Amino acid sequence: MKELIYTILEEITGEDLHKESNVNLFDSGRLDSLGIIELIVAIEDKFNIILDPAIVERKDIETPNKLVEYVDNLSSKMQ
Amino acid sequence: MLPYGDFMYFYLMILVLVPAIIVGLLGKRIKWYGLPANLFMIYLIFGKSKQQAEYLIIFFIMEFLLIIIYSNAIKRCKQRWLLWIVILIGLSPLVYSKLSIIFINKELGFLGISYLTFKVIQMLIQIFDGYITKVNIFDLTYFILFFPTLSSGPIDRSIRFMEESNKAIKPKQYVEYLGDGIFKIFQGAVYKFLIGFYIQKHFTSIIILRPHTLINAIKYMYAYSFYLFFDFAGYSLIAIGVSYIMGIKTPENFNLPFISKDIKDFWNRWHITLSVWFRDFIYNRFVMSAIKKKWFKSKYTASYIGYMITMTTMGFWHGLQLNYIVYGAFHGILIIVTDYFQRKKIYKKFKKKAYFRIASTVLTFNLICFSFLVFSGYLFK
Repeated sequence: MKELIYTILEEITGEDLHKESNVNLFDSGRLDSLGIIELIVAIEDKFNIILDPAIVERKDIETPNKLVEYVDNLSSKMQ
Repeated sequence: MLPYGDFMYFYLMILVLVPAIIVGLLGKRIKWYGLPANLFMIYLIFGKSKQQAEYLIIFFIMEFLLIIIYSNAIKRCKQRWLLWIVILIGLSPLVYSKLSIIFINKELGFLGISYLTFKVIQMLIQIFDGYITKVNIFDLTYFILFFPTLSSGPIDRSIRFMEESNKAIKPKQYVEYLGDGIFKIFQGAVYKFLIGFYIQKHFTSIIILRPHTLINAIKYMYAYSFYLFFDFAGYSLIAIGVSYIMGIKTPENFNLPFISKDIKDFWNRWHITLSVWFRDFIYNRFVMSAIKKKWFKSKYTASYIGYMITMTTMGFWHGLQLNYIVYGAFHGILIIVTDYFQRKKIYKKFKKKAYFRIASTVLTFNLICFSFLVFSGYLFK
């Protein structure tokens, strides 16, 4: 699952973020308003979960690590 | 009485806050005191203006019933068209009020109608989305009529607000709320009543009377921009501080907007609760539907149209006068141009250079000030 998220992030940002797993995706300019929508659409599609940008807080998914953790939690809740 | 408008208001507000502080220090929920205290404060604000009071009562009853009825109707009819209908009904008092300014030159509404409408629409949308399943009438009343933020925000969200107002805070924790709250009120008072007032008295109110030349327009532009910031950020800090004393952590509204590195950054720092509201409920929803349903060939087209719809709507929300609409559309265009430029190689090459960042910040500052000049209506007089 972790790998899939990094692949999605790479598709959106154009960068391999494995080495920057704690970097802030918003402050570093990698994810903007459109980027976050693309991310959510891709995650919904790949993991079959529902994410609402009005509910997900940016600080919960601001780094690749936090994003992985968030999706992990959510998908275990949904099962 | 104008909220936070004079000493009398502050004096009476402090009297109302004292019991809240005692309840808070005892570690009990403030909500049950907060509800009647709210009604008293609203009486204080609108008591002398019968017309505004009537509009507020009609507005409240109508929106209250709309939310209650819709939260029940959703169980039987989860159709999108019904959501659109209830949103239109929810918006109708605001539209009526804005139209009245244009057509009869008089506002038929009450102070704060624009802000309360946001809260109502947010609840209707999240009832549809399934995040709000049960609506308690006391929680709903307290949320909509919460006096500290009644007149001009910050715009809170019902789910967060109701969770917080139903949680008892430990006395030790409440002491922190109280300290932070008092500090914010003082900071806000310095912003609004010292700095903002000074700029208005010695600059904006004087320059506006002079002939409208280019030099005067530039002077007015900068003076008005700083006035607007200190007045509004000051008001917001006071409103947030009073909320803290009532045990509610109302979200922040400003974060050093004049040092924004670009216009997108600006909207994460200026009137934050408004821009996040528009982003969550207009831009995100539009772009998400557009991408999922492939309305446009390019995702960037979807995003640009999304920005334009969002920012123009923001303009209309401020008022139907030309200066507000142009202000909204201008910001929409600025965001699109910025976004387009930031995907170019030349931007990626220079973005980390110090001189580029400084130039970008200075340019952004001037564009923002220009947009405020448009907003102020100075150019249209």
